[in-house]
This record gives sequence, structure tokens and C-alpha cells, in this order.
Amino acid sequence: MSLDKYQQAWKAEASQVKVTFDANLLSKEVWKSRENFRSLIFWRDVREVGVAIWMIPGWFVLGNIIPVPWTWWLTVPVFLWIAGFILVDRKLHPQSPSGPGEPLLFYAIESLTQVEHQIWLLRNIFWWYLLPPSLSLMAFFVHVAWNGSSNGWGFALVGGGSGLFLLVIYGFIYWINQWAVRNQLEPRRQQLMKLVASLEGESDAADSDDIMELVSSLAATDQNSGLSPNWATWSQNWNRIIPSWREVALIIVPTLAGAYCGFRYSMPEAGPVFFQSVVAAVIPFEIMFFGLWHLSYRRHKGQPLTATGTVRPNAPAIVILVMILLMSALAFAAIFSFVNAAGSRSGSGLNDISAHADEEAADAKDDDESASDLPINERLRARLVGRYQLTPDFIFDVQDHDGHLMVGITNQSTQEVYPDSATKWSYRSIEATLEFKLGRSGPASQLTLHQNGIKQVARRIKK
Amino acid sequence: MLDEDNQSLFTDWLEKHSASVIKVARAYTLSSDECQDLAQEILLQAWRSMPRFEGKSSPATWFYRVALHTAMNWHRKDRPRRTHQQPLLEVQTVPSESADSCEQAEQRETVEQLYKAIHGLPKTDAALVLLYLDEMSYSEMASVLGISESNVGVKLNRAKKALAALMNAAPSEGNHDES
Repeated sequence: MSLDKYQQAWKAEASQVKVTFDANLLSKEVWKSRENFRSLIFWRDVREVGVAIWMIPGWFVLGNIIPVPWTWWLTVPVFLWIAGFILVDRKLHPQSPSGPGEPLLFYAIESLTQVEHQIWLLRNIFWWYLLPPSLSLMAFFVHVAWNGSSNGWGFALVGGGSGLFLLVIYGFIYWINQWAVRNQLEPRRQQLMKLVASLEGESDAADSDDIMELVSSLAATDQNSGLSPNWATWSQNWNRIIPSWREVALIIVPTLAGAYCGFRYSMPEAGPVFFQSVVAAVIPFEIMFFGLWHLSYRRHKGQPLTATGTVRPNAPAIVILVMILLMSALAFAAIFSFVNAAGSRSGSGLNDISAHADEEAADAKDDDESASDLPINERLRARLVGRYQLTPDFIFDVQDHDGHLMVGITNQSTQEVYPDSATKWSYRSIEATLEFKLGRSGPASQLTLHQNGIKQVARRIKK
Repeated sequence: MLDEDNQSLFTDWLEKHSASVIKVARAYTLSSDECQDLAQEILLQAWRSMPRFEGKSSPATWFYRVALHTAMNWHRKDRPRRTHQQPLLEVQTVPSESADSCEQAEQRETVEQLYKAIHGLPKTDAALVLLYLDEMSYSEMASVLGISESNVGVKLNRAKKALAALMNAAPSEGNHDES
């Protein structure tokens, strides 16, 4: 049979087909599909731009609740920069595909342009997305470490640990984006380039014209536009990393063990116990989680994520996802507890009142020298207990708790002081000493705070 | 939403091209359910993009652009959505009174073989064969695909050879002039 006959048969068959449609229903469906598409684009932009914008009020709230050094605020312009960068980029390079009705070559070139721009974005992610917050957060961590550490080792431990934490997180983000470029975007770009060349050129290459692949790439660009993967492939990836409860146990057991060790063997100079417990938990958590991620990557190398539609994360993956959120919240809380403790150690407000301190400190020299030789016992501690006022909003509250002399300061945490002599008691976590003025009998009449070469006198007040 | 003028234009247009909707849908699907789903999606996309049709290309060319693009995209992303949708269109086969039943049966068998062959073709060739069977000119094919007419000639020649091989028949020489 000749090809002409095929055409005739084809035409004859076509003349027998009659299609009827419901115009109202069609209109409703068009409206619905348009709304769905708008929603898809809107939520994609919210994910990418919104996260950066919403972090700003959160940053302000936290900064006002917790006493933080000024370097905390350096991150606010960074958030603005990231949100602005993405917004401008979206404006200059819209990632949404054009509507139907254009020649197929047009879609191929449009898709190629989008993929090439996405590759550029991800290849340069270090400069526009990772470096700015790394710098501002590192400045904050170093500042906190400097304020809160009593010696070089403490500074190195806290500053180095925070730096390592940032390095691991940002290193991972960088790696996963470069992985996406190498294994997803670059092959797609090569494929699209070949197809465009095939459609544009006069060549007869039989291996370069699978138009289904071309439009599969278009569809993938549509769904995957922006920096975040679609829901189905995202779920499939999580199910690959955490396929069973065994992986959950492999992550949770070392994490709990780390948390226990951090609690049990905490070091006073390394910050609050809570901070140390969380740090000791986060480190094995990250090692195990990223280790499993790497294993999953190696195991599934060459098997692209192809899930569509109804794929959901399984229960073990959901547990680990919840755990990641929990660990992130705990990590933030731990950082703030550390900052808070550092703030209380630095004795905020002391410098403000130092002007009138020298004169009063001179009076303390009149202490009965012999009092320093008194035995340190319950009776002596009872004479020291009381409230001493430096300023109306800075009052030392000295108490005897089971043989431990505890000193609380207005709006700051209570800490123990240890005797150098009967009248001089020192903090261990910071370099500061309290010197009590004792008479021959009765309670101490005042105390002098010795810190940073400055003496400040607080007089006893009634309870 | 379309106004009444556009709606009647769309209805007229569909009367002329409704068979093409089904043909493209059949060429790019393997089961009748999928075919029905894809035909609905093509109709939906055509309706949606109707207000943007400016008459720069012929309605047939414009339709094929929409249909082929929709068909190729549909495979990967639209199936889950379409399972929840009410039927938008009804397809009826009306036997021709002019042809005898024996001839009709033979033509139907040929068309079935053609669809099987199209399913076995590389997808670019499938698109070209669809346009060719619908008796489109080289310039119309070039306009649908966005490629040059000479490129269409090269590719179509190869596609016809592949189709003929699949249909177990040799192509007749010079049977399609650019018109």
C-alpha cells in the first residue's frame, strides 16, 4: 500500500469522528487550571523569597528578647540581600513556561535558556546565597565566643565549634546544589542543546530527535523551576535516605548518647549544660544523617528521581524530618542560652556606674583586716547573706544554699562564688571577685565588686 | 473565560478540527482511558489559549502547536490531576454513508496499523507523520515545529521511510509535493 493510501484512510477515518463538549464545564476547568498554575508559581516564590523575608521579623523578636551583641543585626541586611536577589532574578529571568500555541522549537530554546540560567544560579550559589550569611553569622559567633569565654581555649572551643557547624551546614548546601547541577541540570542542558541543534540544523542524525525527551525536559523545568525540587521527587529522595526504622535507630541512638555525654561530662568553662548537651547531640546527629545521605547517594547513583503525583514520605522519613526540625530548634535555643549566659557573665551595666565607684571603693579599705582570717563556716556565710544595692536596678542577692554561697543579680542568673578568704569570694566562670566588709560582729555592711580592674561598692539594703 | 463570540468561534473550530484532537491523543497514548484524558487536556489547553490566538498562523497550524505541546507535556505531569476531572467531551464515530462497509473496514484496519506504527516511531517522526497524514504542507509543518522547510523535507523523508518499514510497505517516490 502506498503512503497516499494511508493519507486517504486517515482522512476517511477522521471524517467519521464527531466530538461534542460542555462549554460551561470547560470554562470552569480552564479557570481551575489557571488558578492551580498561579498557586504553583506563588508558593514556589513564597518558599524561596518568603523564607528570607520572614526570617527578618523573627530575627528582630529574638534580638529583643535575648541580650545579643550588635553583630546579631548584621544578618538582617543579609536576609534582605537574599530576598532581593531572588526577586530581581525572578523579574529578569521568569521561570514560568510560556502558554501553549508556540512552535516546538520555541519551547526548546526557552527551556534551554531557563536551564542555563538555573545552572548559573547554582554554580554561583556560594557568592550570593552562602557567603553573606556565613560572614554575618561567623562574626556573631566569634563575638559571642569572645564575650563569653574566660580564656583562649574557651574562645577557640566555642568559636571553632560554631565555625565548624556553619562549615558543615553550608558545605552540605553547596555540595547538594553542585550535585544537582552535575547530575540533573547539566545532562538536561546537553540534551536540550542537542535537540535544539537537531531542530534548527539540516542534519539527519537519528539519535538526536526524541521530542518526547525534549518536552519531558520542558515539563521538568516547569515543575522544578526555581531552587527547590517538586514534592514527589522530594519525598522519593527522603524515602531513599531513610528507607526503614533501622536508619532511624542509627541516627537516634548516637544522638541520645551524645546528649547524655554532654550532660554528664559538662565543663563549666564551655557554657551552660544545656548548650553542651545540645552540641554533643547535634554533632553525632549530623555525622550519622549526612553519612546516610552520602550512602544513599552512592547506592542510587545513576538512578534519577522520577516520582510524580502521589509519592509521600514514609513514616521513618517523617520521624527524621521532625527530628531535624527539633534539633534545629534545640540548636537555636542552645545558642541563645549560651549568649544569655555570656551576657550575664559580662555584667552588663557595670561600666555605666563606674564613675562614682572609686570614691565608694575607698571606704572598703576600712574593712577589718582581721575578718579575713575568720573560719569559713555556716556562721560566717550567715553574716554575708543579704541584699546589696549597687544601683536601684542592680542588686546582689547573696544566699546560703546547703553550704554554697549563691549570688543572684537583678535580671541575671544566680551563680556560686567560692572563698579565697573569709571576706573575698570569687566567681569561677568569670574573672570577678566579691569583697565583703565585715565588722567585729553582725552582717556585712557592704560588698565590693572587683572586675576588669574596676571596684564598685554595693551597700546592704533591707530585704 | 470566553465571551459568546469566542465560544461560537471555538465551537466552529472544533467542528472542523475535532478529529485532530482525537488523532493526536491516540498517537501519544496507548490505552483508550489515556486517550480520553489527553483529548480532554488538549481541548482544555486550546480553550485556554484561544484568546491569545491572533491569526498570525492558520487555525490548523496553531491547533497542532497546542495539541503536540500538550500531548508531550501531559505524559509526565497531568495524569494524577485528570483522574479527578469530569468528562469534558464526548466522542462519537459516525459511519460514512458514501463508502461501502467493506471499504470502511479496510480503512479502519489501515488506520489501526498506522497508529501501531506511529507508536513505534521516534517521537519527532511521529509528530511529522501526524502532520503528513493530515496533508499539511511543508510550510505548515515548519511552522508547527519551528524549523526550516528544507529541514522538514529531510526529516519527513526519513520519517516516511520509517513508517513504510513499520507498515511493511515501500514508500512511493515523490508522492508528497510541497503545496
